[in-house]
Amino acid sequence: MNVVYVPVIGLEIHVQLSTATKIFCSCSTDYIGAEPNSNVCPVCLGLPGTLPVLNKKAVELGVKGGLALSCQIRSHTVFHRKNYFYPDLPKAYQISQYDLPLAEGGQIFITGDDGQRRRSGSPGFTSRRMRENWSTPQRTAGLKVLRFPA
Amino acid sequence: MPLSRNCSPVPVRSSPGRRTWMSLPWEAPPSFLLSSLPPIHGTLKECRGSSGGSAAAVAAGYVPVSLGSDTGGSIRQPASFCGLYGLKPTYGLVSRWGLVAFASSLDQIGPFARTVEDLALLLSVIARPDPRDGTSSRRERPDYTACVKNPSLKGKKVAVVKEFGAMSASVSPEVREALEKTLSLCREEGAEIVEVSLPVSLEFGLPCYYILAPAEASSNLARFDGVRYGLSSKEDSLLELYLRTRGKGFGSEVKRRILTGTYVLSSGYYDAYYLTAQKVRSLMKEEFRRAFGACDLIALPTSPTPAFKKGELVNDPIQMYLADVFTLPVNLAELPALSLNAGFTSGKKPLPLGVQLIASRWGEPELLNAAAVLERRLGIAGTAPCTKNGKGGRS
Repeated sequence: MNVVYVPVIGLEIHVQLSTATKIFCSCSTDYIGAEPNSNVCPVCLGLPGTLPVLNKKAVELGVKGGLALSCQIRSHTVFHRKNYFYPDLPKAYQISQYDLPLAEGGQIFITGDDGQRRRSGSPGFTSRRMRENWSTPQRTAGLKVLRFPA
Repeated sequence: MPLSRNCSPVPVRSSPGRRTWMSLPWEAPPSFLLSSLPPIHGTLKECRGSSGGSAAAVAAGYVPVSLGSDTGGSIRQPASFCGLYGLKPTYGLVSRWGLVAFASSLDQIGPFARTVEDLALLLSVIARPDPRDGTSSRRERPDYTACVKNPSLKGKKVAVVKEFGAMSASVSPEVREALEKTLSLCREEGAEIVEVSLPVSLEFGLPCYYILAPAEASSNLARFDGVRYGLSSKEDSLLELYLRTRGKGFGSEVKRRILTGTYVLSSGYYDAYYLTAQKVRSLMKEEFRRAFGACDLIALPTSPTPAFKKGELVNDPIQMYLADVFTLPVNLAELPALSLNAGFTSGKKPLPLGVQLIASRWGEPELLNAAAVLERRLGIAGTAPCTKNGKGGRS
């Protein structure tokens, strides 16, 4: 009996949008070469009493990227909190998207080594989601140090 | 608070109700501030909470006005127990920037005062749009101080709630009388008394709140983990750090809420509890919207009883929760409401009796107008501290 296995490969790709400031505050995203903890503020540090304000440019770029990939753009999109405990997670939740993301569906065409042009499987993309990301924990001489690069 | 730079603030120590680690929500604990005050109205009664400290400071005459935060009644309840005016604004009227979040979709900051004029004045200072708060409304604010200048209830419709009748057995007779007296005064001042029906809000508001508020609190309080700031227990493992720090740093009522909140958000229970409560919340908003099609204001007690003894309900959380049955639906529906002093209990040590007025969204002018009319009639404005004959304490 011959069994034919067809590989199905899913890729979760994280893309940093090229905005000048962060997704929920006005801190600069220009972290290359910057001192650790220099591009931070009470909002991205998640200090008590702070509130996020959505970066308009981030949404524009997210929509643009969604359209480029032939996604459906939602007119009503919702941000959810992904709650968990970890030292590098300042608020103990990540503001992300869950069941009502910015863009859904979509597809890309890839030309394989055989010269054949193929469409990515259907549904091609399940969703394009907007979310925040941050610090790199480092171990230094037995201490765990939190550096917030961006 | 940045706004206060424009209005010469009088510096006062912060009062216990709003510490970072969140003290017991209702029973404002004794502190250096409270223990140095003459006991409220000559008794050792609770000033209620969670903004009890702010209310106590105004009632005792230490400050003319103060700020509190109201998530389920935390301004209105202490205002009622302490004989003050307390206002919970429409959700989105006052910025939440700087307020340590408890339940983000319910929290609002509001004023305490001994007179309606002072209440309006403080409200006008804090009710500004704030770009740092995404939920802050950008709509233009009216002049709140103008509402109290020539107040009138002529032609206004003040509503009683049909379902209150069935609940009145659990409300103390003196509170019921205070509500009746308030309604008579409204009638005398030219208002029409009508009836509205709020079955979902009065029957299901309480359980709905005790699912949604703890859920939001469990998320908002998760950042207090001992890693970056605050209390940090010296432990050998990360998990022990979290468990011991949070175990020591939070009081029992806060822990109760975090556990409840985590449970109702957890996989397998989310739909049955949290999602269902959100649907009930939508029904409550719709119910109030319909009610305000037939009236301008809704009148209810603030609290079912006058102030209880210090520590009386600490070991009976369910009884404590039941006392919020009239205030919680207002937060869930994102509406404004005001508690006013409508009289005192009889007896050697009279206690204040609070009545609550609720208005539709952005209806603060209606509330202030009605409160100003009633202030004229009830005749207990401006006394400090708030005792029956205005004696004692500082001014």
